[in-house]
Amino acid sequence: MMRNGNTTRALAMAAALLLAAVLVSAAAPPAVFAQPEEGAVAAPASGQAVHSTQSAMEAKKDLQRGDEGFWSYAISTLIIRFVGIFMVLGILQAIIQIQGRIFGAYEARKKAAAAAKAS
Amino acid sequence: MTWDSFFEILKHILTTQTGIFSLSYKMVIMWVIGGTFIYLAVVKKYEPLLLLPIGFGIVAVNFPLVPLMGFDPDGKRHLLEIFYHYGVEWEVIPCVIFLGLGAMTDFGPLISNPKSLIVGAGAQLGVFITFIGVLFFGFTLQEAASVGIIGGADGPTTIYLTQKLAPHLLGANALAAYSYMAMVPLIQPPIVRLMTSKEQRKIRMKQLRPVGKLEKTVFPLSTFMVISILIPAVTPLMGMFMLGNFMRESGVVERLSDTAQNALMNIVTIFLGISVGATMAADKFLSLKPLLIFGFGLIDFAVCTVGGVLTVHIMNLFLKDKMNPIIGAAGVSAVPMSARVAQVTGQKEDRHNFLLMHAMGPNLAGVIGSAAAAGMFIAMFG
Repeated sequence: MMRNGNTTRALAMAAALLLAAVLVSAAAPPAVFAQPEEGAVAAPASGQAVHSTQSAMEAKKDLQRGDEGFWSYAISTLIIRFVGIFMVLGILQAIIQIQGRIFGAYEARKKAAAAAKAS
Repeated sequence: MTWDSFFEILKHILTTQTGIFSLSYKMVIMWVIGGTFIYLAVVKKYEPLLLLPIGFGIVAVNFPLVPLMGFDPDGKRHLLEIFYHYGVEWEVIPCVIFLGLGAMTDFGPLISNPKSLIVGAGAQLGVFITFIGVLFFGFTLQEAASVGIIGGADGPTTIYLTQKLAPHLLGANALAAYSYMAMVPLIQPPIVRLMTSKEQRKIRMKQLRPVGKLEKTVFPLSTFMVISILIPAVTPLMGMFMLGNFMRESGVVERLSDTAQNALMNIVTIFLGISVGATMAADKFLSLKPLLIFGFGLIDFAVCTVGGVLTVHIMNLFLKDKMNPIIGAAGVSAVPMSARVAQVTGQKEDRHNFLLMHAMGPNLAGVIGSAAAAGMFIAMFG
């Protein structure tokens, strides 16, 4: 019962994290999916390395203190990153929990089969 | 030959072929700094594997006219410049160190208690607070990001990120990171005691479930895939980390795993230490920025510890089986030092409370968390 509760919580959390990821992606599409801006070099569709496009973000990363929008850019990247870390590690946690369930069930079945064979 | 011409030649030799007349007080200050790190390594045994070569590197490059860290007139690189260029500038050494770390790491405690990943995320709090703090002191976004990662207490990650974003701060950042990692036993216990009650420090945690070989073998593969999809910028580091761990857990390439853990790790540690030390020439290092980096590095480290402990407190509000908040401090990576500190701090309250394995989970989560933070910094400012 307890394990079922944990699994439900883990799945609910994974779903919430995926939903959050989708929402974030919708707000700021990653370079590989975004339409390249005029004059920009399009990101490669495939390949070993994905080079970022000349986007508005590219220009902002070189903002200097005192420039307009410097602090709002710094604070917004900060919030995205802090939430992002929780999302990435949260997704990893959900995957490890699911893996644990799968391997737990596999081990239990193997043990049961061995016990049946012995008896 | 007259006496005049003899003295002229002697003067020429003394000024151009020896360092006697080119010595400056700044170089002497750097000898003292290098000597301090050598003292900490040899006498106090604080992170000697790194602080010793770093300290030696600092002293070595702060002699006038030594052909160690620069170029010959014909453009040939000097010895330490070669180590630095191919090892650090090309970002090879941090990744190879992660390969060795992966081969040395048992992820069992993290796999059996995946909740500890959230503690590792919470312990990145200082990374972001420091980022804003140093911006107020005129650092650029890239410099602030590279200083911010110091609190993650992960040397290779700090070097990797700094080399990408602010290579001129490499010496100061790496030195601050390794110095504070060495001082974990001094920095963390007072913070933990301040943030926890006696009863909370006595909490005994449920024994961790055993993790099977197959599960441990699959873990590096799945983690590699997840991190590579979500934060591709950090794949070189995490990829090598997980490759090292996969070699270990698969059990079929013991020779490779052994080499990665021992011989290879030792070789790159020598090159890394001396290269980092060699970046600290007096004219680059003796300025306000490195002092600020050391100051903010300490704050960063303290806030990361606070973040880890606070995260456990928050998680305990929702958990049936409470976690001991001491293990939150191990969320800064500094493997395995901070986990050991958690164990010692816990045993001061209850001699029979064994927190080491419980603390290893957040500790390993901290490694992944700080690499994830670095990846996000690179993606945004790289």
